[in-house]
Amino acid sequence: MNTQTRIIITLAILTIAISVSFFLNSEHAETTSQFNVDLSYKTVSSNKPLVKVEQYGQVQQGSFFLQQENQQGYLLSPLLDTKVDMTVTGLIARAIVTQEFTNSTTEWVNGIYAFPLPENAAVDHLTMKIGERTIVGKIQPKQKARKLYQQAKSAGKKASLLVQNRPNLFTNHVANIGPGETISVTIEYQQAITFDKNLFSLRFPTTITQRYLPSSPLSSEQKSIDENGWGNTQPTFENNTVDASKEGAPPMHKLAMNITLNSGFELEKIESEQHPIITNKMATGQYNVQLEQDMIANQDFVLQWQAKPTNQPTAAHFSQATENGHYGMIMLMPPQLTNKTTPLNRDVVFVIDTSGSMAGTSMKQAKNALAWAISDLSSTDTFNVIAFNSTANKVFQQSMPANNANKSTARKYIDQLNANGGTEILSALQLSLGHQTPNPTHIRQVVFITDGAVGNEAELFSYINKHLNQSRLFTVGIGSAPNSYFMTEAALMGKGTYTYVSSVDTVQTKMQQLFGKLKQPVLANLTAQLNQEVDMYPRQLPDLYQGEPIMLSYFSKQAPEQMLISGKLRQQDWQQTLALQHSGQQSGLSTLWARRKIAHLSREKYKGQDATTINKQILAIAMEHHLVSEMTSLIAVDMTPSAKAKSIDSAIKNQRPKGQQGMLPQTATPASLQALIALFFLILALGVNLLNKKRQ
Amino acid sequence: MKSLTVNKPKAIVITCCFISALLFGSSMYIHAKAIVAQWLIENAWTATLSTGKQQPPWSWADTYPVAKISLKSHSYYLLAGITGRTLAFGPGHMSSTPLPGKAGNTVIAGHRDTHFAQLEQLTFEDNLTVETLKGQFTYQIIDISIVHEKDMSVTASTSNDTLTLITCYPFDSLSPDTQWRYVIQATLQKRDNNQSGV
Repeated sequence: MNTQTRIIITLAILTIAISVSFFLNSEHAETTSQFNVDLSYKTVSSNKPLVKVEQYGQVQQGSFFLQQENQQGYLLSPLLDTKVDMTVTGLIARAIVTQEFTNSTTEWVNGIYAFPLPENAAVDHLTMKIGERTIVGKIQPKQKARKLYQQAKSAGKKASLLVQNRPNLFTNHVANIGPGETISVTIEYQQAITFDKNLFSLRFPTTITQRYLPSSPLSSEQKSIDENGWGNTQPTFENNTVDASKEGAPPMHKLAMNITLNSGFELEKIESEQHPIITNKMATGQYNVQLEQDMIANQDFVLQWQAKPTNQPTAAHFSQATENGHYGMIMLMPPQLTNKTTPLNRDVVFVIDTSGSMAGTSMKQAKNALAWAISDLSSTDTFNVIAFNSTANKVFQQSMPANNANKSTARKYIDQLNANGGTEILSALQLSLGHQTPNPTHIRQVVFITDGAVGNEAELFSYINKHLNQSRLFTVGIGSAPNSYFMTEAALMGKGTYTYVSSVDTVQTKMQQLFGKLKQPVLANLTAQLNQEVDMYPRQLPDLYQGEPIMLSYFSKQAPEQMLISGKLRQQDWQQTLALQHSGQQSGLSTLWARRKIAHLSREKYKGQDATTINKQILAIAMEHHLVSEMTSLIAVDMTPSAKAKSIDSAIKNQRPKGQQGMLPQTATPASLQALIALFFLILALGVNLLNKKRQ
Repeated sequence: MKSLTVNKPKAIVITCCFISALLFGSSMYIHAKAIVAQWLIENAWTATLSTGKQQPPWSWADTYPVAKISLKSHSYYLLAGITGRTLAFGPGHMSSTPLPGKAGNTVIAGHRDTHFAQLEQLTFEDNLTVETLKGQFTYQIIDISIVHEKDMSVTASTSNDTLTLITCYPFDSLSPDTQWRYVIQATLQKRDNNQSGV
């Protein structure tokens, strides 16, 4: 009896312990998910001998995980391999990205792999290779492609669906990969090369950065580059990088790269910032670049090259003749100013957010940066400071010359600012953009420093659009999660740039970079005219700063012969003609042009144009140019059904930098579990009772 | 000595019964909350429909009904927000996503054990309807998938009007902690605007 009692007591204590652990567990569900994963896994699927649960939390570092048949466990399998072949000709890169999906399980699976591409990438080809067979993907309207994929998936056919989630984020769905089978999917895209400060650069992104958080409605900073192609500050990449060793990530997702560089001229240097490369000169102006070793896909690959100082390019024209007309791409370097030239006279309006959310270090750093910027103004500049929270206030009634007395008044005003209250951005915009008095001798720059979370974006955009006049709006996002969609679009509408300050430590350096650039605006009010009627992107040329070229894509029925660029170079009218009779023949320009037109159209949509009409236009262009877009997807379906069993879904997670924490809501209750444990205790009670009676 | 051997099992029986009752109670409470709350929310929704104003279902509630969703034979009142507290009373609407009637991807989450247990039965043939202040919206299911809880891509904004329903997966699992989500995505088929002009 005694031993029996002991056993029962031990059992009861054990059960209580388990149930308590479950309660604790569910309470912490949101904060300690990794711990939960392990626990629930062990508890639920103890009958399934699965591998390496402790690696599960590293899903952000890239892993191909597959679900088991009973759907209660998972297996980690070696991730896909990626091979990148790139050919650079002039200002265009064509990339062929091959991803191999291997199913290491004994089940039929479906895989999903989300991956980034350059924000201006025009994706136009998809091929799927199964063994010896190759299936070429077709462009279809998004909904239709999705339906075709679903049908193929449930019919047991192999299929691949390439979808653009946002301009720089794509997902590839692959259906019905057999046990031990490998499917190879090849994606081809085209992108424009960036040219800035005499440096050509090409970026291949490998991580989805924090700024492309799927939960944000639109992607952010680099989107402005997409439209301008080049005009602005280079997006900062420091956030894109993840130190794999620090996170203890297994080196799973490998990437091989092979680049053929047809620059067309002798190069001074070819270098990669982060990855060791091997460069071979094939012929004059032709180079081959390879990675010294396969890289782990957690840091963007950036290749830069520069022409010999004796033959720095100052203009370029590439064209492509098609049945419909002529597509082209033009690059023109404006005259460079020597350092001796005096900076432009500016009228700078600083707007600083002093809402409650800025409290603490954000506020301190913003104040420091502002004080620095004011002291950096030259005496010929004029300036004003606007501080806003629930209401907006200016220091001076109107812009004042940046003399010592005024600077010190402003500094005192900044010193006493405190962070509290709401974020009424509109009132600040009204103060800074409304009632502008035209000043022909000064360039008006509005520097907007905020961490702002705003909900009335559309209203703010339309205000900026209407009231910008001659001003330029530069947004600076401070804090861990500024509304980067708003900031980017506001800067774009304000013909300025968006600077994102990721951590408070970097406020000072980032602001110095920005203000350094603002001091030297080269060309403003730019317009380009061709002697033929052209459809040209970007439609509105942005201002140029030191070292930046004009770059545009055009389509014209007749080949244009010359281009006239005019604008204001330091208050003086400036114009330049570029003869276009000669051009380098190049394919793929139509694709790039279409990609830019689509980017332009989607921006129109956010400016308040009728979405249905624009969606139709995007669809038509994307279908015509065989492009993946927000309205179209590429789909490849194998006509022969192959899956013998029903395939289960799995997802391949891309390597994501730390800090990107998003989680779908917790949607289960412990109700059934509690009921079951309750039942167990009831039976236990009955058993003990029965036993006891019997004994007596 | 004898009295001890008799009492020990009795104590165990009583303890076991007590724990059992406690757990049953707790389990029933979860279901009861889910059912009773929907009655109260119904009243609040009726009030919202007639006044056009947000109406918390009970005075201390930190949420309010935003829509009514019909899945096959059942319909539930949607609450604003997807916090654990909200989901106990009804399916919740993720506030960062638009409500039906505004362009984009409407994301709705519900408990797999209570309101959204029915998602398992939904097939591509089924239609979903959502009634909001703006009118009635009918959706056709276009995708059913199982995703990881960290896969936020299903909540991403879409160019077509989309409805995304999320619940925990697997449905019959006992553990309240699963990293899988069952996701149904549907696309807008029909829109009947509210004629009353509220």
